[in-house]
Amino acid sequence: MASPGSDIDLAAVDLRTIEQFLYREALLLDEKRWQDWLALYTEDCFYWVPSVVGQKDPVDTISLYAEERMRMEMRIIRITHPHAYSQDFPTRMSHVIGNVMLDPEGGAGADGGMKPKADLVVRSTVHILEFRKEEQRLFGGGVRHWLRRDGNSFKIAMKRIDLVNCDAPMEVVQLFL
Amino acid sequence: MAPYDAAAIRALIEADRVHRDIYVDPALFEIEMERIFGRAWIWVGHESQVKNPGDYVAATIGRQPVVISRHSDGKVYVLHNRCGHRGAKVVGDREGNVRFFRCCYHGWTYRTDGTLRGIPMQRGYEGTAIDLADPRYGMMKLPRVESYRGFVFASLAQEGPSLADYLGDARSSIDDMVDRSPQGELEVVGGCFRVVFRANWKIFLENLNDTMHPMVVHESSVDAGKLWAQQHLGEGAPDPLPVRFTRNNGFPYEFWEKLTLQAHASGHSFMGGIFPPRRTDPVYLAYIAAMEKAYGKARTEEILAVDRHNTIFYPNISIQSGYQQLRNIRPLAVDRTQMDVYAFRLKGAPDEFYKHTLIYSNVVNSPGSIVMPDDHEAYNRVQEGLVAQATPWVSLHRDAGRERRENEWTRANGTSELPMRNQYRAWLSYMTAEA
Repeated sequence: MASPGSDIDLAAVDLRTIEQFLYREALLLDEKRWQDWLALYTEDCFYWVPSVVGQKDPVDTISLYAEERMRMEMRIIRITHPHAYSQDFPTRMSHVIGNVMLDPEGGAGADGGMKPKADLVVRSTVHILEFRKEEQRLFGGGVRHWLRRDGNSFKIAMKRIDLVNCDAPMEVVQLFL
Repeated sequence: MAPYDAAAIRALIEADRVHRDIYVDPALFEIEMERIFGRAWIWVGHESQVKNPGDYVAATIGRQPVVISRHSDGKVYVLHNRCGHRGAKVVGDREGNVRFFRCCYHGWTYRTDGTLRGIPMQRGYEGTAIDLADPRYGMMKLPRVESYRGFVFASLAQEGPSLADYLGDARSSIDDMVDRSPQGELEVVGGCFRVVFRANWKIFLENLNDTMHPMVVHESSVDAGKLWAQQHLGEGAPDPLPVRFTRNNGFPYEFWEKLTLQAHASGHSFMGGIFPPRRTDPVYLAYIAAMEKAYGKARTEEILAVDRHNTIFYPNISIQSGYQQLRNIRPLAVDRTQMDVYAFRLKGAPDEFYKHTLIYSNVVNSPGSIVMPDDHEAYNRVQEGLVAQATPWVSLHRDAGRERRENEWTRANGTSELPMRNQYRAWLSYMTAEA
């Protein structure tokens, strides 16, 4: 069984390796090691958090996040800036990743037309506990990672996070989810 | 409720300063809901949200639930979202299309113009005092509904100025937004962002034409754009849009000072542009070609020469006409506000053009924006700080007395606090008007 557009045999992919990769991404986010985190992504990556359930694409409909590498780098500059007043009290996060599985459909219909060059697509579920000042918030939803083989590991060509509350009234979200 | 008679309310607003209670006192918030949101023309939606008969979209006026619908007669109605029977909210979701509305409780049904259509076991009402022909047993229409170029406004008050009088010459900003469409029409395509902050609604309105804040509040996102450009772009290379939409907030004070602010007696105001919409990239050139085909060269030039940033229509919307954005203010409580942000497609413009509109939305107006969190931090801190009893007065003195009156408008230099002083004149007029 090969993922569409790839010669990787999914049956031969070690799921534990993939899980460890996703856990590492979560750890880097929780520890705010932004440059190490960004290094997990390809140069032509795309980071997408839709604002609509089942959103078809990131260019014809508004998104909570729709970021190519440029905007990801800009966000990192901002949230680490000494005068980012909205980070005077820095946001803290804790990610829990579960339900990791290879997507046998290879992310079909979910890539928003971005057509990331990927060898395999991994689905997972994330729960993110976020805290700033007085309030703790909970975000959660389904995640897809489009992964490209990179030596013995992977790079993320695209990440899509479908939040359960993507269209809820919400206060600002500042960090990467 | 109110220890506030007209004299007490007048005492809260001076020519160049306002009392902190207008931001923190829940009793004043209740009066605002009654006298401002209960009387003024309130933007409720856009006609393109209800294109076809049976289309509806839920909205609020102040805190009151309403529904905008397109009836089989082709007209747009704004109805109280309340069942004529026991008062349940009839429309429970955000939008959709129906043949008729049906209350979830006892099954009363209503046509999309709000008239009562049917009641189960209607014979139970025979011989009772109820008059089912009375509109109060339908979904009641709002007393006044008018549209201007697709923008639908409604008022809870039976009487008041016409929409044309209310908009006055500020409608020229709506014209600016609509004229930019080669077909002269706008369209809401996707949904909207719903962003909540912990501050009084008026603090947001004050900020919109406050040009002394960007270089301070937005330093982090200005640098995000500036540093990124330094690290990645060659000398003289054009800024990618996300860079342009962030670094321009860092223009020096002299730039902002030279902008013109215009304030209208109704409380409206606008400022000159800061992100000139005109560009030279292929998408924009294709757009200009579409405009010239529709309007000719001279008229196109005239339309595109207009450059305004935020235009506020007091009390509940602000539009960015050059970027087709609309921010709708929904007060939730004295210290809590929701802002719904819509992006409009210019009908007849190339598809790629709307993608650029959405880059603006995503960078500037999304809950995940890298620009807005610092604004909201400032609003929230004003709300927190005003709890202090240090002094009851909030200063709006900057360039007071240096504004000049011209026709409907009062004009001032770009860094004046004129728009805020003007908003409080309008506030006072609503709050002290006889019912």
